[in-house]
Amino acid sequence: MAGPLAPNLAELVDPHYRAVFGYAYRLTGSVVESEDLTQQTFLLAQANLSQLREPKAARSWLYTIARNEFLRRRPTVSITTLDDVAEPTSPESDLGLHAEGGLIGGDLTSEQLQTALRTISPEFRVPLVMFFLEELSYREIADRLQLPIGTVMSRLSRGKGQLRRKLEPYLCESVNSVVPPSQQPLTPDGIA
Amino acid sequence: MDCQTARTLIDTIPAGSPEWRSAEGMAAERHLAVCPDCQSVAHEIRELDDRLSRLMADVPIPVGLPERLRAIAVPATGSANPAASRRIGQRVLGAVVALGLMVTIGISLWWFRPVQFTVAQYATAAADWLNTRTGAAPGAFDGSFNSQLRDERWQSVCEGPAVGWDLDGRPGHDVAAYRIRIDDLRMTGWLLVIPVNRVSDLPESHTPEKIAYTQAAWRTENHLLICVSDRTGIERLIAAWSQTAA
Repeated sequence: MAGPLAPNLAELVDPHYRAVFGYAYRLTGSVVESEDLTQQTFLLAQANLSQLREPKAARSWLYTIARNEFLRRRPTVSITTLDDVAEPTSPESDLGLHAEGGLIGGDLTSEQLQTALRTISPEFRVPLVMFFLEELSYREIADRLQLPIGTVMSRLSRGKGQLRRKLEPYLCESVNSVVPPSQQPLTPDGIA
Repeated sequence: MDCQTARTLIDTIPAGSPEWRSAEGMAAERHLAVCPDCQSVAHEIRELDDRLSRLMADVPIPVGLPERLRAIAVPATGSANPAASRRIGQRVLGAVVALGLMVTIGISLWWFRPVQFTVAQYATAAADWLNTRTGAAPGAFDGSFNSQLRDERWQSVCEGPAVGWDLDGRPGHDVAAYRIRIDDLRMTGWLLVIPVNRVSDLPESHTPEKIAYTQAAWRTENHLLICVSDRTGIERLIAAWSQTAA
């Protein structure tokens, strides 16, 4: 039963549509899919508005709807690359910290980030999006995805490592001299 | 805590998370305080995480998206909250069902309430039947109420099983009638047995009182009794049995 402070859907759209669309875009990697997912999220929210007991939790609630809908639509058989499952050889490689001088410099754009995210399989991408956009820890992600903590910790850590490796060309200049050819990241055009 | 564990925690717990105040988080913080290598890695991870978080939220919005979303937020039904409307509908339906149930129960109770007749009506109906043998033909009493007489003397003068008949048109006999024969009073007749809850003017007397030329009536704890003599003998019955109850 909705509480007396439960907003109607129109009141949720304006403050949250940017966040929900951004969340959907980072999950799907496609503007068309993310708009469709955003609309579906608000439709589902409208149908289940009575479940929103605390208006302050609206954004997290909408994120959950969008994530569940994304996972529901996703094919059960996903394509996992060797890069996704390769065992790290050292703590540094696990964390994706290859480049000399670090990864803090460079001029990274939103679209370059999206290009890199798109190459990461959903098993790793979903925890990444939850970590960066919802600022959830591995324990909280495990709880919301109903997965074992160790699984989520591994996926999150390795997903971040993959992301860093793929972003190295945009973050520093010396990547080609540090990353082995087999692990060289995608170019901005999306072709290795 | 070793470096590998500390770096994994740094990598999987956001910088501002309350989990840094947990035992695990505090152990990692203690490790960082004494490990310059991990401090450097932690600095790099957190700087990059902060940058990626901001960048990840920076997504251009398609033209017209907010208008399209607002359009779906105006439901065709005119209600801003279909779930609330559905709940209201369910409550109205529930109230209607409950009201209908109450009315049905009320009508049933009214319909099946015990119909009461006066002593005179019972006596008249009995006389009509006994004199003319018209009306509802009595058959064997159907046992719709307990017609057993407590007084052994009355039991001893009853001949054969009771017959019964219906007065109110509903299922079940309203009257049980025993054929009686009292030799020492030279009297034959009928003894009518009626449940007290079917009598609207129950007599107070527990001994036979004359109510008509050949009839006497009295009450017991459970029954109204009406004795109908075939010819005479009611006065003898009253005189002889006025001191005892049936």
